[in-house]
Amino acid sequence: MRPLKPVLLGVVSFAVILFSWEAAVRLGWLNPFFTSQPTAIAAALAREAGSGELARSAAVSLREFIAGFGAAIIVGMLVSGDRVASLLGRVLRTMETRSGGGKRTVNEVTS
Amino acid sequence: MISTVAVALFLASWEIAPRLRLVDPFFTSRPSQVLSAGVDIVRGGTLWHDAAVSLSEFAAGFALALAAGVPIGLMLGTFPTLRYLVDPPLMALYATPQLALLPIIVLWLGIGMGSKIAVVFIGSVIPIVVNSMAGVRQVERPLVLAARSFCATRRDVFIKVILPASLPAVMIGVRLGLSRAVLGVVVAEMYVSQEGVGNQIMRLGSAFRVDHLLVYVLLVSAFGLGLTTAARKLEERVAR
Repeated sequence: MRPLKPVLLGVVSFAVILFSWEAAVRLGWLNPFFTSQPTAIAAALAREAGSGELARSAAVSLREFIAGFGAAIIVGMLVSGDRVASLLGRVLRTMETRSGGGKRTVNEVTS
Repeated sequence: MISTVAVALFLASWEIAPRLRLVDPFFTSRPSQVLSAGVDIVRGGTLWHDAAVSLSEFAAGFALALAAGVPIGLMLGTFPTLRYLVDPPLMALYATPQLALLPIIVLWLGIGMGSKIAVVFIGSVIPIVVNSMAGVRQVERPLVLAARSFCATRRDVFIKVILPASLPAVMIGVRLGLSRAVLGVVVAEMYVSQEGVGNQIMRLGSAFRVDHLLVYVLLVSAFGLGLTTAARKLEERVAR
């Protein structure tokens, strides 16, 4: 079978989900108290965005995310980075040779 | 060798720094205190109950995820039309932290074990589906064609070629799902629950009992570490 347009099918899929969700609520099959409905969610989005609440909350989360993830990147690179590893390896090797140990690779020492 | 030294150094400085009043032991506790708290907790008796609750939530949710996720993933990998339909919403769900859905799940299923099982299920089923699907898709075409040209039926091809060839990818999904499942059960219990390891962690945190809290945290991380290590071992065996 020739593959149908994946993008088209993806759009259809979302459309079907949203439509049947909305229809099920309107026909009384689903209790909107528990499931809400797409139109109500869209209205809530507009309200939150309009009042500035959405932007405020998103800014806080984004700042926390950037600060934490940025710190993680820096620390992660420092700990595992090539330069630090080779420096550590050199220090360890000199310690080994001074203490009379045989030749070993960095990998063996650090593992 | 080096890692043993590093761990020893870490434990020693953790023990000594609070004793020298360099840090406040109220916030950091000390290894020796954690150890005696551990003895307390083991003797105290609620540990087994809490561990049993968390463990059964974890096991039930993950077993369901495995039972549903692997067949669904293999099916989506096999039938492209189905995949094009399901893939976009699936990816949207994959990108959503399952814990963002926690308040809704609690609203639907209450504060008992059901909501935790659901969180574990949702968290782990998606990586299992996605990776099983990818596993089927990356089966090399010549293998399938070779089997076909020897008159293998579709069923034969699936069982004898596609299934074994996609097993390593399925295992990756299982491992990713495991860590999400552990995260899910603990955080869901912390959010709202009456029992379980996560519940204890939250309760001890609000009581400022860092030493007892750390015992439960260590328990969780040991459990998670053991599981992922086992999964990785299994993965290596399957890959061969």
